[in-house]
Amino acid sequence: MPHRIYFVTEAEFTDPLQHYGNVEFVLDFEDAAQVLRLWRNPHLGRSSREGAVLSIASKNAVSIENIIQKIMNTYLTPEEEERLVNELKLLRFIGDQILPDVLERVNRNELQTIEDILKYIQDLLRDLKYEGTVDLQQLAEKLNQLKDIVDIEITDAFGRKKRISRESVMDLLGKILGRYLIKQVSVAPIDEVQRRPRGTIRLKETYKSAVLSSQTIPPTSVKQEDIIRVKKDRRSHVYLIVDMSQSMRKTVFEGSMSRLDGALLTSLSLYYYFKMINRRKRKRFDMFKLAVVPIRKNPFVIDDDRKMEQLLLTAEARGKTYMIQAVQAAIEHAKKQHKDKDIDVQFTIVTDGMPNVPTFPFNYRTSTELKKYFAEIQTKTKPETIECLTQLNAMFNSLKKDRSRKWNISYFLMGPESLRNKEIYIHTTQMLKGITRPILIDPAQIKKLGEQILKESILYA
Amino acid sequence: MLKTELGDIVKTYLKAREDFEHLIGGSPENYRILLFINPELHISINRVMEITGTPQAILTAEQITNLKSARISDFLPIGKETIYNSLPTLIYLSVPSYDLNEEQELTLRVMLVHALAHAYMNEKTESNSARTLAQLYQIDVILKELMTNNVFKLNQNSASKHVWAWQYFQDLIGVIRLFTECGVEDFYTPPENARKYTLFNNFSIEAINLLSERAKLSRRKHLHELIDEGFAHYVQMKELEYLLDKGEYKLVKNEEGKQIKYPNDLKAFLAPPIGEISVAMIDRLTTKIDDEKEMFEKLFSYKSDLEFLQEFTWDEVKDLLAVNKNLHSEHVVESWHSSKSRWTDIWSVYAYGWRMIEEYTRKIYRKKYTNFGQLLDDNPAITSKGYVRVDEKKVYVFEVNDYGVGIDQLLILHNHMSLYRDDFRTILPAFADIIVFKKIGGIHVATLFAVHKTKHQPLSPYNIPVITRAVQVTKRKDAYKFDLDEEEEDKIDVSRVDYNYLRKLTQPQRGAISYLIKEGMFEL
Repeated sequence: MPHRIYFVTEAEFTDPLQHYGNVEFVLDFEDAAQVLRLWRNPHLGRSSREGAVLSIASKNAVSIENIIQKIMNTYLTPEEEERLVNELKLLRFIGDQILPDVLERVNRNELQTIEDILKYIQDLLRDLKYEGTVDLQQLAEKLNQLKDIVDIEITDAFGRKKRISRESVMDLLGKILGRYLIKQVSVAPIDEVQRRPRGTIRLKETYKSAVLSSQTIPPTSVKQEDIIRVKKDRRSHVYLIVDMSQSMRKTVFEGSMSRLDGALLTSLSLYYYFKMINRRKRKRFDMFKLAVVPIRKNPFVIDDDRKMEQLLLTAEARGKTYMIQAVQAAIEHAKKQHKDKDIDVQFTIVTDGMPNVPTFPFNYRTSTELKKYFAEIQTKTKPETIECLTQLNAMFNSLKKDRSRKWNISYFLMGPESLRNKEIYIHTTQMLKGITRPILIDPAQIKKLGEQILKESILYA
Repeated sequence: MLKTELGDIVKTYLKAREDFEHLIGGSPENYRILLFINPELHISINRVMEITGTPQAILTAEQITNLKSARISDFLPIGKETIYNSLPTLIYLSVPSYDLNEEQELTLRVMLVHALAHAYMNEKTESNSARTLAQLYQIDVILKELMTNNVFKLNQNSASKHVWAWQYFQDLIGVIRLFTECGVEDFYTPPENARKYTLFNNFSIEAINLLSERAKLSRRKHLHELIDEGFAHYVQMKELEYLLDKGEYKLVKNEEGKQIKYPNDLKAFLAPPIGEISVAMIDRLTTKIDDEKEMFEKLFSYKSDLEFLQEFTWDEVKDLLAVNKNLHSEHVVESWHSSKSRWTDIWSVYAYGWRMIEEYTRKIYRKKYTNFGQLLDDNPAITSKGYVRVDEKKVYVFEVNDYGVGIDQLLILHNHMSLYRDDFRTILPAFADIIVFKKIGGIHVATLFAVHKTKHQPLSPYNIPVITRAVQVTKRKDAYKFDLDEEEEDKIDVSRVDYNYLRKLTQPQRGAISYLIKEGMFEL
């Protein structure tokens, strides 16, 4: 028989232990809301914890099977052998003794937080001390994997699974949502080159953006006319002022998420959007910045990761609408932080109602025209709300008149289309007369909110 | 360029062939050797064969994940040689290095002779084992191609990329393969005329047909392990003796000067119990048939291990097992393991290997099993336990053993149980709720998978509201009391649940089922 040698490349003979398919993790807005809910409430997600125990168990079983084969079939150095024998003992002990117990506790809803699990491990080790069957030090290390149980399991729409620890939820969600936004409203800094007889000038602060008319994301193609050039010689600072009053508790998407969830996720996605586009290219300074201001009793400005995480974890939809106070906080923050006159400030307000807590003392000059309007009409609107609207109008007017810097205001009103005939919409329109127009967003379309805000704040600002 | 680098290896290969002809008086002609320059790849192939039986079979996503995590912790055995006993015989080798030193050359030579012996046996044997394995290999290759092409096509045609397709098809093939092999064939198969409507229908029809063909084939395969290994190890032993007599390689003896120290990489051939027992059996056969040639002919004529074992009485077989186990226990730990390890720790691993062999021989000798299907039926990996009727729908109950399906893949199973749910429409037609019992390590667990109504058009078969619950099956009396007490009474409508169609269940299992039904089916 003739003997021949052929050469086969790795492309022709692929590794069978390879995960095929797309690596991109696609997380829907609704799925993100689910993750957010699991993150905020550790009592939920028992089935995920049960699944985690089972997956640890089956991983253990596969490892045991392979170690047995390895000890028999592979030549081992003494150290390696010692390690494998120890591992085998530990894995067997965990699989036979500990995991059944853990599963039972999970069934009973006992192991819900990292603290629960750490305490469980400690108790376990204390009990085992007197038996002396396994190396406790190593067992303790191995048992640390039980912490995975409280991780949040997310499956994307395409079956890709990921388990994320509670600490990294915000980062992961933010990145996924932010990237999704970047795909929708892309802004990339470009160098605009102007050729002159004496040499070329490169203008750094020019941005190119493709506004997508196509519905698929990412788009299959971008048309030339969709590409917009935004010249920015001034930096922008965006304040996202988000309503967190009682009414935001209403659910959208057939109960799968609340308005608050939507607003929080939008804030998070925008926060990460700006974080990520700023990271893209080395520049003299960040052209865009975003801070979130929750509308609640003592509003404060959220402009770093730690505060953001705190907000996401603790935000609750309750109480009245302290919008005046939130806007004031934002104005103060903007004036204090950015003494530089070259910064534009953009206020983006997202609400589903009208402000109802006026502030005193109030130093801005109120508009007589608006007062007249409210005096003339017959309305069921409460006097304090009317007071608030006049105050808000006064504040916005004074900002608009400010010569020292440019203040932009956009106002999103959450509600169905039928709201256009209701007092809330009409009053808001009156209040914003000469400043801007309220933009009505359907709560069911809340996932588009981020995109809309971006267009307002970057492209048309 | 590589051909010259492989010169040493080719030289050793030719030597091995010469040795083989010299020792046996013939040589195999129908085999292929695949040398891996990347040892990782060889390990993967080795594991795939261990799990599925053939080197080209598709693994489920969970199997891959678990193996990967074992690989990261460095738990996978590094076999230097893997042999697939088909026709042609496929021999997978890790390249030791381009320039062989004496020890490596000896190792490679012995390994090749071992492999050639397998190839020789496969050509000469009268059992259907080698031919069946060849057919299985073919089917697996076709399935892989089919999957690749369909994923490609599916993604090419659709605007919204079906990124789920890879994993889904992988799982689909892996799970249905397992289930058909165990005789569960209750899958939804689209009718033949649905072929032309979607690529997916076409794919499922093809895949399910191929898989059921594969299952039938593999069940008919003769049990031939002992003869294969026995012959190969016998020839390998002869080769070692021959080389030592010739004095071509100098082998050191250990400190006491008694035993020869073989090259480390030969451990996979010299240490495991299967070589030990099969050679002992062939030795015993030689006491009955003096002429070696005649003895070989006799070996080739056996259709299955049963015929081989029936050369001896049951007492003789038991005796062989016991004596060799003892002998093995005396030397294996000392010669192949470090003196630092405790004897019991290491021996327990080998004892486990012996236990498997004892079980195997006992089963085929006592129950007269000749093919793989009989062995599977003896301890079925999957058994159906009937169903529970909840309102209008059925919840099927299965028991899965260690080698059974993974938890994640049950979703696939869902989709292909032959039950149609009108309220759910995807490109994938059928959904049933199931409860599965499975032992994982020390846990005996009952898992419920239930699918609820979707309100949106699902993007992929994974994008559906699934309830999964798992509970430990125990005998404890208070085991399933928890939580139920806290729930409001009106939430649980027990009267609509009908347990009459269940069979062969233990009391704790029944408890687990009713707990899962109450907890899971009415949760949302």
